[in-house]
Amino acid sequence: MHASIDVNTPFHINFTWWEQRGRNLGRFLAEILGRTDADIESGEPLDFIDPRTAEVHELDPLWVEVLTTRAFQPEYITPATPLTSAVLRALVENLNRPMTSVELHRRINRSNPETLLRVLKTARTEYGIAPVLDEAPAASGAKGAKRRAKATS
Amino acid sequence: MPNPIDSPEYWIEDFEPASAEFDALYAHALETRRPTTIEALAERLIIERAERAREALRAASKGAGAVYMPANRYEKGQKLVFPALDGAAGTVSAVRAGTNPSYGDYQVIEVAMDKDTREFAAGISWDHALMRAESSYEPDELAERYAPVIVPKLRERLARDSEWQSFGEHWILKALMPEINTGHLNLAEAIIMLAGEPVTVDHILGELDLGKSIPEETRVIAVEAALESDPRFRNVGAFESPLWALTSQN
Repeated sequence: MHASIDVNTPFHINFTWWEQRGRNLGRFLAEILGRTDADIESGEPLDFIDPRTAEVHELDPLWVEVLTTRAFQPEYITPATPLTSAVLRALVENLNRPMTSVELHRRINRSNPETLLRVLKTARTEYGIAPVLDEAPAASGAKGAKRRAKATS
Repeated sequence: MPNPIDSPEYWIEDFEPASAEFDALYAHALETRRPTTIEALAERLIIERAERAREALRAASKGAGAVYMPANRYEKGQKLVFPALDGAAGTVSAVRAGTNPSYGDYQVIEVAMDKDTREFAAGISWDHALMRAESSYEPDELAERYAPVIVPKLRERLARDSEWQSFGEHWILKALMPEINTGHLNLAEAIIMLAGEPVTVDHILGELDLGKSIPEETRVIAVEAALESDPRFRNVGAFESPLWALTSQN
């Protein structure tokens, strides 16, 4: 972990970490959708249209479904959502564009940026959430998400 | 990704005063030469930002093409400006069919921008936020609505700036303050002593030669700041309407 990490350090989902451990983000997305493993659909990437800018991102169909049916709504992240899961949900909602502890705190609306930073430091072992400094920038954000879209399902 | 300038999120999350905007605030303060409330400074800052944004968009639109709207369809080679991306501009480099049937019939345009290529929806028939916004904000309205939101950030920023001085909720450039010297303070001490009771700063001000060309509010704040920092004086009135007495007086 980088030495100078603070509440303004951006974090994202490190897809390389998920691949290296043979873990499946699709399973997490399916859980958000209330589906069992058997229901996880695999398919070609689909367009997602950003509700604010109309920018189009090609993502895994499950991810698109989470964004269009669950994210951006009050019940997507609630006080009952475990903090690490809430952080992962917030990054999924943000198309894995890197977020700092301060930004995550604004979205999750719980705890405080300092505590969230401590959670983020341990979230790597659970969800592969890592500082952007740790890997090539190409793997973060929507482009990284598109590149890894197939790996999620 | 920036929030639209007429959204609360923009002023709460994204807004950071730029140095050019502080220069404009500085110039405004020099022009008025009077202490200004923090709310009025915040309004000035918002008007400055909103007018600059509007000008930038206008200038970009003139040279860089049509304003992008997701309901419209575009052709390869067309130049577009994106208000939701801080007025970024680009050229349509490709058009493809949309792949998500849940959005209905639409196209996706690939736009070559300064640093990268991005895709945007075109020809959508449903109600998108960009179609509702139209970016028809008025700087004055934004200032009235969001000045209280940026006051804490502005206060913190001014407090770090050695050129500004606060007195309560009023701020002024130190360079505009008349110098209050030991002679002035000695005179003020004598005036209060002779009065035999706490006096307003106006009572003292009339006897001090501080130059009538300096606005009265500025002279008042300079004297009050000087009295406050001198242990011989104490304010026995309210913070907003001080009454000055001598510390040695009971």
